[in-house]
Amino acid sequence: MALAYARPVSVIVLTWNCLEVTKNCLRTLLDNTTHPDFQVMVVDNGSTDGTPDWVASIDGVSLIANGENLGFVRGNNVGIEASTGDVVLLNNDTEIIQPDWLERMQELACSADDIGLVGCRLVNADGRLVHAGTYMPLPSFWGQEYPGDEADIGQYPDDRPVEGVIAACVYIKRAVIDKIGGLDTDYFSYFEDTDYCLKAARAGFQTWCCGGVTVKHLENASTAGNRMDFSGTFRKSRDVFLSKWKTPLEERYTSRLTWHSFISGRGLYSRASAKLLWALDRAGVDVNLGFLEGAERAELDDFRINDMKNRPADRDRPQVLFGPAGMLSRADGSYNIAYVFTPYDRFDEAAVKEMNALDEVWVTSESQEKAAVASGVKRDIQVMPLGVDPDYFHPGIKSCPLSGRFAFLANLEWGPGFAGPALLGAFTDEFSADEKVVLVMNVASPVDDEAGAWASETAISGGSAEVEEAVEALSLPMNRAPVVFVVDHEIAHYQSGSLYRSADCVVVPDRSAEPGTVAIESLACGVPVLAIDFGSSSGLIDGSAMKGIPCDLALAPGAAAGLKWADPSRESLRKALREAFEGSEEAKAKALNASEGIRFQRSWDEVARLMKERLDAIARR
Amino acid sequence: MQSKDIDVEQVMEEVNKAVAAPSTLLADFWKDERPAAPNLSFIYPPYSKSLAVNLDMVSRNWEIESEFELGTRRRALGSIAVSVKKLTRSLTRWYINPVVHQVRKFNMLVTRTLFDLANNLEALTERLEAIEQQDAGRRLAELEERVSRLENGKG
Repeated sequence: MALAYARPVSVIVLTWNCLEVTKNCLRTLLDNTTHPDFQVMVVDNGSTDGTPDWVASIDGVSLIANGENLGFVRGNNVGIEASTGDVVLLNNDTEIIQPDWLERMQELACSADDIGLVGCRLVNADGRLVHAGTYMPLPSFWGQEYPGDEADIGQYPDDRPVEGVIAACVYIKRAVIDKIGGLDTDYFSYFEDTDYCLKAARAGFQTWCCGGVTVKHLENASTAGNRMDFSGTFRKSRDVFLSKWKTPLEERYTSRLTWHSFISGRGLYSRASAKLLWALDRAGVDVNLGFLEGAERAELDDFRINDMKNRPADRDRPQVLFGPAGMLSRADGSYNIAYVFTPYDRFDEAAVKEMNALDEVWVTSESQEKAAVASGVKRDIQVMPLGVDPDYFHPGIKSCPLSGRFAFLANLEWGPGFAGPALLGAFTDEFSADEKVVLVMNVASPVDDEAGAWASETAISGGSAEVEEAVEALSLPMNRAPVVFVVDHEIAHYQSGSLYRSADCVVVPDRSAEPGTVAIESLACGVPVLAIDFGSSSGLIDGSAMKGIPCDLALAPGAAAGLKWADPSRESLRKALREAFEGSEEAKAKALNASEGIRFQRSWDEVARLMKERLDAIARR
Repeated sequence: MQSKDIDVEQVMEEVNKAVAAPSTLLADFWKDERPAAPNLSFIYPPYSKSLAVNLDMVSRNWEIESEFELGTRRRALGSIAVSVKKLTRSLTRWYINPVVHQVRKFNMLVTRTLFDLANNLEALTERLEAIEQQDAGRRLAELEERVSRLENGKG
């Protein structure tokens, strides 16, 4: 990209031995950077492996030799003091892989006066995404990076404000340096970057992560290469950080809440809880956890949520119980909110009784609200829809389309809650072997720990071949268009967007009135959706990006008497599949248009904002 | 098994292969029942394909049953055909049932043996991993000791 006006910028590279690593950094920096007005300044911390001599021999690179190891902070400050304009701190264990990285970071930094620091996406030597901003979870105060360690599938593509960025690659505007100076010399190494971002924020400058820039970071090469005491240095810096920031960070929370739900499972409650808990934390809600699966079973690999688990129990605050009927009586807060949905056209009597025993009810859609009112819920009802994570569900997420075939994708658990057999029958009836189309059935075992009675009755175990036996029993017509069953692959949820984006149309064959987040996530990825026109799905159906499959209602097996759910006919499914196949180009264009609005109007942060507003209103009573 | 190890890219590659060359776990069995099903494919995660899924199938199918429901595809004289089948079955029970009992017994023993073998294999694998880890730790300690001796000039 070309800048309208390029500001001069100094790229400061701190070195301490590890000559080969430095050579790689400088070679890629000088060869790959297209910015028209940058200078490279190497600050050497007393290397003994020939680094100063080698750097001195490179044209266009200035050298400041400190003669001794001043540490990361003081070493970089020497460079900052020697520069006059904006600076970029760049670790010597980084590798520039994108020519316009500096232009993009500068453009973002200069796009608003109150943006002071800009970091970027960092991938490790294996190409996995390790950094797209940082956050500081409480009470551990052990700084963490988004997303930590994930396959780079194009997540975090947007420029966005973050709590902090690491100093491995950070653009700092001169205005920030003029106002708060260099890095805090109370730190030797580690935590100084978070400290600097917080100080900048206090001085009125935001920190952003530039989603359009990716730099390779061979983490801690200097520490490892110099056999440095990593944990000792880290611990000391953390103590310094706590002395400065513990109280201000604790004071950032303005609301309090206990979130009582499934947290550690694989089902909808756990997945939605994880996203909401992060969003609530960002929104300034101090969240305390209650575990429906039992705290002893809740093993978490999510650092932020694990930290919430370690906060002292406090039941003297509002509590949201997000769980199935039968568990709502476990709410034990000062003001108890049932956050619920029903898979049927109404809530059963026992659930209504439980809901009426609490103080307030939250539901996931307008149709759920109507079902609650029709079922006899007397409490105040608020709609808190399920959301979508725009960092992971967007049209630019990595896709792996099938070669030369239109792909329908259906995510389902094999059981009565899904119209799997009807969908299979309709597809094989409708599409002949000559047509370039395939149905991919991503089949998962039901999640026992979260499933309601309707799902657990038909649960199949992981690694099971029951689906194959069940499909065989359907006696489907032979020699028709292909169907591929992807059985129990447990694809990481963060990669779901990549799966949806690999399809031409996502089919949601749920009979349930709350089919979860598949439809909204697919729409956020710009993929057309075909869903049964019932319950929460109906509110999303617009007839273009998302089309509805007409259905009747049928009594739900295993549910309380009279409760019904969707029952689409094979004929209506056939017709809908054919229309989606033939009108796919138009639907794709409309889905792409719709994606931006969905991503931001229905983000988890937006849902958390609604929840916080409601919690604040409750607190004011 | 952590899903971290399964990428969408790998899955879609498998789907591509499956469309080109459909395969099912029960392919041979399906052929006996009716024409092959070239349009259906089932792909399983790598960790379960070879053993877990097959064990699951064994455990579902060892208990054979001779008293299945009798039917017929003939429309005309269908009820007569079913009655003849029922009569034949009742007349041959004295011979069939002991054989079925023997086969069930054998199937049960084989199933139990397979599960025992699978459990033993799992235990052995864990043991082997632990030994390998111990060995790696020991070697690392030796190397570190040698490095520090060299650094201190005592090597």
